[in-house]
Amino acid sequence: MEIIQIAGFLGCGKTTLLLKISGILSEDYGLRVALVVNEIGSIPVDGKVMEESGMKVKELGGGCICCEIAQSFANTVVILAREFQPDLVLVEPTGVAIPRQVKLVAAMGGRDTQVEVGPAIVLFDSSRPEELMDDELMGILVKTQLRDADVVVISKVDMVDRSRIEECKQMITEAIPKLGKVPFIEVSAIEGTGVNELVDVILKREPSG
Amino acid sequence: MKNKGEACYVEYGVSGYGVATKLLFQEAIESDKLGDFLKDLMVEIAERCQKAGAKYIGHIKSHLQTSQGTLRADTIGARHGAELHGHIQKPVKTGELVINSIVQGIPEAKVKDCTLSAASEVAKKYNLQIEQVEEHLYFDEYEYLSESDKLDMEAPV
Repeated sequence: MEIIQIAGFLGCGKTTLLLKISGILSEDYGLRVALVVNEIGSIPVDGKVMEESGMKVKELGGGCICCEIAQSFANTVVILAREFQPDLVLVEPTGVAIPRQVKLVAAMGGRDTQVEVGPAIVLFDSSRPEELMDDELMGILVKTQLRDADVVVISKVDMVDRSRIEECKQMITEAIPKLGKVPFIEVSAIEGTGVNELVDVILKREPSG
Repeated sequence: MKNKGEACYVEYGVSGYGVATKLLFQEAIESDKLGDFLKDLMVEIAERCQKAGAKYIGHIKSHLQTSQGTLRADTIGARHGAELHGHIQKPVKTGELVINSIVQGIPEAKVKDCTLSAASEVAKKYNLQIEQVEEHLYFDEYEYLSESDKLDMEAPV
């Protein structure tokens, strides 16, 4: 069982992408996929959307899985492994969670089970790069999230032109030079652009595209 | 584990409010009009939060469930407009609407005020009746598991 998180700031398109990817992994590749959603606001919206997709969904409320309810998340990992035995667990943390913390908690839950903690896929919303990076407080959070990325997804590329996408990449690598060494994938979950490329990364395959 | 006062979202001044409501219509309403209602509602909440001092709209999301299908709308700020997904097959007279508003820079109470006042006003504009069913402020003491969930999350590990 591998645990992969789809992280990134609020509103960057995590839920839409998660649904798209999980559908491909289960339908096209026959993988047993479970989704763990940690949603901000205790009245779930994302969970409802995901349930409609027919996927196995665990919703965790009452706090953030990277800090407040870390133990609940760790327990969820153990129970999923024991009772559902998925090939893959896709985790959508809250938009304020710190990816490395989520990884640590996933690893904690995996101590007693056969769990591999996979890459942190961190989304960056190409429709509002300045808003994300330039604000004094939010900018720190967004950069902290990006710093933990094993894969950076430039999301919502259907909403911007090529020069804007390049600006986003430049903005990110200038702020966090070490990200120059990690894969950047341009994705539009709505149109399907880049989704197969991301699936290849998750499946650790050579790019198909 | 951290206490609420030490949690990551508190550190970054992020507040939120979630509300579940029941929508009642005098006449059956079709998908397009309900979609317009949701989009207007999302933008109205965002505008009110920004006027109240929010520096940043994390996201404002909604989910309308009816017997004829579902609609979802969301925004990341008034100037971005609202995105709409889904479709309702036939006109309906009732629906269950959930709204989540997550913003940065204003306290939870203000997020709640902006969300509820916008819902009331936009519903009135569309001649809809909106009744509050359940509410939660951001990450209060509440753990949700979907009803369809068969696993016992309280099981000892």
